[in-house]
Amino acid sequence: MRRNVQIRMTWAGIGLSLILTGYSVQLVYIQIIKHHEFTALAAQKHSIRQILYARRGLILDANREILATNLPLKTVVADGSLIKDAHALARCAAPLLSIPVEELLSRLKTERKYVVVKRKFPEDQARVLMKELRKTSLRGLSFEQELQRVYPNGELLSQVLGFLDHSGRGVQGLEASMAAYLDGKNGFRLIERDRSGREIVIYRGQEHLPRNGINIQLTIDANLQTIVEKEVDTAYHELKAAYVSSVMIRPQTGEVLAMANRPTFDPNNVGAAAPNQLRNYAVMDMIEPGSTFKIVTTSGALNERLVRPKSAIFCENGTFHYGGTILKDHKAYECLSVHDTLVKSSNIGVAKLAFLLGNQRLYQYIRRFGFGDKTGIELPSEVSGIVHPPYRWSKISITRIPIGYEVAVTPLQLAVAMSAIANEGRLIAPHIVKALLDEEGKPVSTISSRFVRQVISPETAKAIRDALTEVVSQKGTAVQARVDGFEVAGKTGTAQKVDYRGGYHKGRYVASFAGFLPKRDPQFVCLVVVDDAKVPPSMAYGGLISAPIFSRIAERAARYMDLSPFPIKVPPIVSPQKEAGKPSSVR
Amino acid sequence: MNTKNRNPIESRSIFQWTLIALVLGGVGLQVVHLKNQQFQLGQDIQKLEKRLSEIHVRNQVLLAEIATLSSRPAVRKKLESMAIIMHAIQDRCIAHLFVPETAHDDMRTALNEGLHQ
Repeated sequence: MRRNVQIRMTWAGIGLSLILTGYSVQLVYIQIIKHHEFTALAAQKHSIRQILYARRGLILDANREILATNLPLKTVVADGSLIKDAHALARCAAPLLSIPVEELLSRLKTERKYVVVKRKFPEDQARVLMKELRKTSLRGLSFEQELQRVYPNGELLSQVLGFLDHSGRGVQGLEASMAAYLDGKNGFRLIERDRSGREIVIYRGQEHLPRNGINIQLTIDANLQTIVEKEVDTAYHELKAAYVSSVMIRPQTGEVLAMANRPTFDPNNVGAAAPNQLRNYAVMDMIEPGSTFKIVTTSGALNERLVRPKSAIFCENGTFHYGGTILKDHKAYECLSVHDTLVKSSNIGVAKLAFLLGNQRLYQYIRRFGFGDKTGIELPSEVSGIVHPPYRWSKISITRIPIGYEVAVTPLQLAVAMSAIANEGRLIAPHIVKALLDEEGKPVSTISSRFVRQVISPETAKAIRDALTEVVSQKGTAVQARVDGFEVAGKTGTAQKVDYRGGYHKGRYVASFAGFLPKRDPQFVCLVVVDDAKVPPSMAYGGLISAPIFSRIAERAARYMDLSPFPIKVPPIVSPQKEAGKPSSVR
Repeated sequence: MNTKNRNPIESRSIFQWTLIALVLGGVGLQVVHLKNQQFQLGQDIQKLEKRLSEIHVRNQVLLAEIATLSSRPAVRKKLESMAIIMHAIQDRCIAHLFVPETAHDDMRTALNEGLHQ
């Protein structure tokens, strides 16, 4: 009997030992072998990397008017692992989220830990929903910070500003090209949560604060931009053009004061825009400039001292046979001075100036004016235009290129070339960003003007300016560009529209006018390009289509800039001694 | 005989252990108290951070609203609905300031000659 008890005790002991050994092995397995795995799981459950969002920089105009700002919104996210009563949660949240209960319920009945329930949820409504959830102790919905880019002025400057995609990345315009400054950098904080999902502040780990984006101040003046946009918009609708583009530059500094295109779009509603509306024609489109390009050839011939402004050129009575083709003037001229060649816009006269220059020098002057190169403006997708080197020219190129054919230029390049004439022959690179500002508005960096080269001498520039002033008179081709009270200088251009399948479109023209004001101290250069205006053929001229638009823009801009309409001379201060005829004793 | 009357409980040792237990207990309670305070402070920090963040967000919302309400399209709408009226400033009411032409001699306009005599 006693022996039986001993045996049973022994077996019980062995059994207990085995059970305990089993537990010990399991403990060793969990604590030592699987240590890293379970630690990571625990960390995943309780520790999270909380993102600290950076604010995107603002875009401001030259007077610090806000052109692009941020509106904080929330994204509502569901965590299926935390939802215990999906029906109650759906009933509570659906009215505030403006989602039908059944639809919300279908999204909440999930095991997934991250389900986006609603994007772009207004901040004030999010606060109400948060309070409601807290009151009912329902878990499973959380809120993430989201920033919506807002362009308060709608269509104004839209192609220059660009827009963001759904993930907040700049897609076009300055939003894309200046993304490195505007974006900022998100920070993070390692936090631990308790069972209820709330942060345990004392167990906070590593923390990197966010770096907010830098604000960008543009050279654009929103008031001038409004003036230009209004006139461009009116012209686009009245003329039913393919597009209208206008650029306004301060010639001494290269600051772009306004840049407008039609058709356009509202960056607050990009989805409604067609691809042609998104295009910034001023830097992305190439045109054959036509007669506006004659300033290059004439400048070259005068600068090389091959001719003088009064030198006479035989204009073949309006018809010039060369290289098996005929070059015509719109009126028959026998002889014109170099000055009048520009005033009357004689194709034959300018072609003959190109003969004097020769292929190589003409090409050099075209390049010196900046054609064939990107201007380097801070806008994306700028094209460099097409200027073929002389070895690729045909026999008749020397008669076509000087009058603005066989070359492709952007409207901005044309405006910059005209700025060089207005600015004593000095070519200044255009820029649209004035300064980078910190959050308090203090400049972090200021962008100064970049002098590129002296294209022509100041004397040559003056001779061209004189001729361009006469262009805007009864004698010239752009009398409609006149502005009362100011001396305006400018040049018209009318070119047949290029058919990209080869040749030209019959009866379709690109009409342009580039001018500046006042002639003696130009405050702005403005270019207006109208592509394929639906007007009768007799009206399809730069002087009749683009010049009046320039005139209206220039008149309003001059008023806004408070330019003196008449040269008022305030007499210099003269000392009493000098007045009495005595020598001045003043140091 | 003496051993019979001796108190078998060693009061000194008990006192020692009681003291140690009290000290340890006190330290433990203090640790718990400090930990609680730390948690409370954490909660306060979190509340303050939340409040600051809310103010910051509200500020951004208001800035965006101000920018939208004072934008050109908004002002134009107000003008069209006659909520505001625009009056043209007559030219005679505008004072134009012109920079005087510089004299072509050594004259300085702000020189007080009396001081140098």
